[in-house]
Amino acid sequence: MYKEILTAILVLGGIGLLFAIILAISGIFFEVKKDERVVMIREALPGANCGACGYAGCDAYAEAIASGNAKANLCIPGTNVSAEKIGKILGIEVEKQKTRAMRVMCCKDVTETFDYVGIKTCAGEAAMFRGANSCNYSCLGKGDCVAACPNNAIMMRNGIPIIDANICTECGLCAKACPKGLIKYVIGDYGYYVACSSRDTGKVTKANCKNGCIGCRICEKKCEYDAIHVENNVASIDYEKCTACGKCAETCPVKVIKKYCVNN
Amino acid sequence: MNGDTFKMIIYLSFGTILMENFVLSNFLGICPFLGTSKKLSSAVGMGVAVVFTMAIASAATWVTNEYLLVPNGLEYLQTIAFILVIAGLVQFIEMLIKKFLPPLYNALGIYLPLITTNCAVLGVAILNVQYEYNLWQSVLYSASAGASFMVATIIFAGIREKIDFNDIPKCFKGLPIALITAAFLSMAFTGFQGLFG
Repeated sequence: MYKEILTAILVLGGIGLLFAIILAISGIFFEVKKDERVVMIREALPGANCGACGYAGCDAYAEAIASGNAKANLCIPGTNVSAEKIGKILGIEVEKQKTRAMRVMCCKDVTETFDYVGIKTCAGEAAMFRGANSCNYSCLGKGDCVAACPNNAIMMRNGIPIIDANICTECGLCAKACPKGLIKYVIGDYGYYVACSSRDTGKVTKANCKNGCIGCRICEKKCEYDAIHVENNVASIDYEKCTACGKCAETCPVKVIKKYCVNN
Repeated sequence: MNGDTFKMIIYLSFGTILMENFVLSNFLGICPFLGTSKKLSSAVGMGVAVVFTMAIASAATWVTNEYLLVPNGLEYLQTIAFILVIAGLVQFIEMLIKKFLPPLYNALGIYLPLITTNCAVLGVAILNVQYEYNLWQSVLYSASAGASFMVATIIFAGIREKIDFNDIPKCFKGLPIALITAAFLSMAFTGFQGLFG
C-alpha cells in the first residue's frame, strides 16, 4: 500500500522535477536577448496592432524605433503621450504630432439610378456598375466603414457616415474599407475640408448631385496662401500651407468646403 | 516490407485523415477548430503546429508510458503524467525554436502554447496506448491525426471565409452558422467510412 503511493509520488514528482530542471537550464541557455529599449518602447505603445504607423504591428514598430529606422511620433492611437514616453526612453526630443482627424469627403444629394438588391455592403454595391448613385464618386451608405471601425466611432446619418473625433483614434481602417476612397485625413486642430471627391467635370457633377464641387476655381483665386488647388475637377487643400482662414469656404458658390473642429 | 506493414501505414495515415478524422469523427480539438478557422492563414499556421506537436508529444508519451508507467503499475496516472510531459516538452521546443529558428517562431509561436493542453493532443496520446501501437505506429498515427485536424480546419476556414459574404439571418450570424456548417462537414466526412473495406 505505502509502496504504491510512494512509487506514484516518486515517478510523477520525478517527471515534474526533470522537466523543471530542463526548462530552467534551457531558459538560461536558450535565452533570446532582446534589446531592453524595445521592451520599454513596446510598453509605451498602446498595443492595438492597428498598423497606422506603417509597420506590421506594435512589436515591429518598437523594433524599428529602437534600431533608429523609424520616427518616434508615428503612433497615432498613442498620440503625443506615447511619443513623449518613447522620447524619454531614448533620451531624444520627439517632434509633436499634428492633430489629425478623419473626414468623409462627400456630402451627397444624389438620386439612385437603379434599385440595388445585392449584398448589403459598399464593396458589393460598388462592384455593380460602380454603385446605384447617380454620382460615381459618392458615398454608398452601406456602412463598410462603420463595420471596419474597431472603436465604434462612426455613425450613419442620412446615408453619410459621421466620424466622432472624440472616439476616433485615426487608425485609418475606415479609409481602407471605403471602396470609393472617400475617407481622408484632415490635419490641424480646426480647419476646412472639401466635402466632395467627384472627378467628373462641373457640368456632369452638377447634373448628378446638388452639393458637389464643380471645380470653378474661385477658392483657388481667393486663397492668399496658395493652399487650395483644383485637380481633376475637384478642389483639395494642402494642409502644410492652409492657415484655416476660411476664405475658401466663404466664397465657395456650392458651399462644399466645410469647417471641422477637433476637440483635444 | 511485408504486406501487413504497408496496409498498416496506409490505414494509419489516410485512414486517420479521412475515416477517423479527429475533429469531424472523434470530436476532439473542437475549441481550436472553431477558434482558428476564421482566417485561412491562421488555420494553416495552427494546423502545422498541431501536426508538429502531436508527432513529438506522442513519441514522448509513448516512451513515458512504456518505460515509466507500465513497469511501475501506474497506468491509472496516464492522464496527469501525459499532461505534464506534453506541457513541459512543448515549452522546451518553443524555447528551442525561439532561439534557433526565429522565422518559424514568428509563424507558429502564438499557436504553440495554445495546443499544449489541448484535448486532441492528450487524446491522441491516450488513444495510442488504447490501440496498443508501438513507437513508429504511434508517431505515424499522431502525425496523421494532426494532419486530419489541419485538413478539417483548412476546409472549414475556406467555407467560413465565404460564409462571411452571405446574407444570413441575424440570429444565426457568427458562431451558430459556423456550428451548423461544422455539422454538415462532419456528416460529409462520414461518407469516407469503410473506405478501406
